Amino acid sequence: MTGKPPLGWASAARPGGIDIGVNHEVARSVHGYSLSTLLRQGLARHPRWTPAWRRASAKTSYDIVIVGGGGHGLATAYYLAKHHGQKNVAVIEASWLGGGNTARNTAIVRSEYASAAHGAFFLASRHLWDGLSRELNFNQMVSTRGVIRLYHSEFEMDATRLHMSEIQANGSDWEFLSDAELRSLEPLMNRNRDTRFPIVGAAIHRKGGIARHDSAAWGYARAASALGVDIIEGCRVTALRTRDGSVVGVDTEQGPVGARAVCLCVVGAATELAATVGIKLPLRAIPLQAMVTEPVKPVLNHVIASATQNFYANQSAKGEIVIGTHQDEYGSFAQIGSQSTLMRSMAGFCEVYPALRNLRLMRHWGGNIDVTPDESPILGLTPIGGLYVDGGFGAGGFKATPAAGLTMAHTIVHRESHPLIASFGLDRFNQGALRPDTSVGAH
Amino acid sequence: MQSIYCPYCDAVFDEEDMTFGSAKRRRLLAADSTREDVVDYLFMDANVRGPVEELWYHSFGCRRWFLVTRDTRSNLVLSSRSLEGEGQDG
Repeated sequence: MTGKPPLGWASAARPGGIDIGVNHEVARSVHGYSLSTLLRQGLARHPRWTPAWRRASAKTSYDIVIVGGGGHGLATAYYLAKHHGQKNVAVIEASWLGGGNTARNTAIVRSEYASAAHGAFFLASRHLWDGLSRELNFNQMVSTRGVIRLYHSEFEMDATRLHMSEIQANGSDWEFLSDAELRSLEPLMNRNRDTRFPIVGAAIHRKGGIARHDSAAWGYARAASALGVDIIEGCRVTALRTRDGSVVGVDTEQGPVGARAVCLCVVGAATELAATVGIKLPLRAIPLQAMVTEPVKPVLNHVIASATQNFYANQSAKGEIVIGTHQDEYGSFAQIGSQSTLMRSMAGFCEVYPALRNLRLMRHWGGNIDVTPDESPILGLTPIGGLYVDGGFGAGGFKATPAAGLTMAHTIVHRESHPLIASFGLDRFNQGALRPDTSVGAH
Repeated sequence: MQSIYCPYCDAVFDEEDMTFGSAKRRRLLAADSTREDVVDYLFMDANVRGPVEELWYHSFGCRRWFLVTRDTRSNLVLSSRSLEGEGQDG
């Protein structure tokens, strides 16, 4: 470890000097899953399990409508209800809950960013993940196994040296691994020097790891629903409605729904929905691909990422190796992705892990990510009164789920950006105040 | 693998021989552009769901730029054509 004092993960977090008001108090209404209920239900052959959330149909109007029932939309609704007492809230999802890009990502959680704004926001999110299972009474399967980044050139090592103290100053851990440490932590890795891109160094973010994407969606949905939020599935929002420069609701497949505030928490359809009220969002929908192998005994102990080899990988609790690729070169909504991207990433993975090259792939899929010109998210207000946007996270949206929900809920209620997301407003493009963070990449 | 027809080579090649450039550019900025025009020009992408015309470069071939129409709903390439007649603003 570095000489810095250990991070006070259990105490209230103040990333970037901002009190985010972490409050892992368990909402009373979401009690119910425990060893004793499992035993009772199990012995009685499961007669009384109830659905985790109410199936609501849309009322004619709400105070607040969240468009998109992925992790971010559901988390925003939950924090609106829990922290701000907002109960007249609906989450409207086109498909089934958490079935879009929440279901398609590789569930990495980490916080090592060099820019102060990114560092504070993602550190807040990483803090929130730690208490989330208890708070939501739903196991988020957070596995703090560490994220190891591999470097294949002195150029990459130099860039990492440059960013390391910035990342540490932001409160996240980040340190180089010696050759012997890397060999002992990941013995299966190919350390031959005669490969196309030999590994010349590595660094570890010990507080990084993985969580469970379905648990995030289901846990937030269950808790939000228990607090009174309506969750409406299978109902596509087709347009936004405004009057005199302020939002007044949304049009859906099941008719219009009125609202005093609307928050867009969608990927892919964000530019089209914003365009219905004349707002331009600087987003491109790009495919991001992932795949899993057949399950094997534990062989990967960390999340392993290599920018040069275009892949990142971890081993799931079931033993499958989950491999993610670099994002595609060109945009598409097809959710399949480009084969040349896939082949490049597979070649990289097989060079680093030749022992795993004969594993069969069980599934391969593509999701969509929305990418901004500075590859930083868009969070906060829009020129339309009462219209808020949460998007543009690129490949890094999953880990941001708790902090995005918490800060967007605050922003909607106060009609002013939460201090943690003040740098990520849509107006930064008008001001030319772009906010890139190029320290480690998006995954 | 995506197959793309190069109008200059008059043959079909693998996507790997090509480099994606961008969606077809808008008109170049005029001298009297407003701030809104500049922001639009620099940052806003059409992000079209459906057929879109794009600039591609035959990087491992004739090394010339041409236009490809691709449907972003299916990821299928529909047609290619040369840049002849597009002019400077093309």
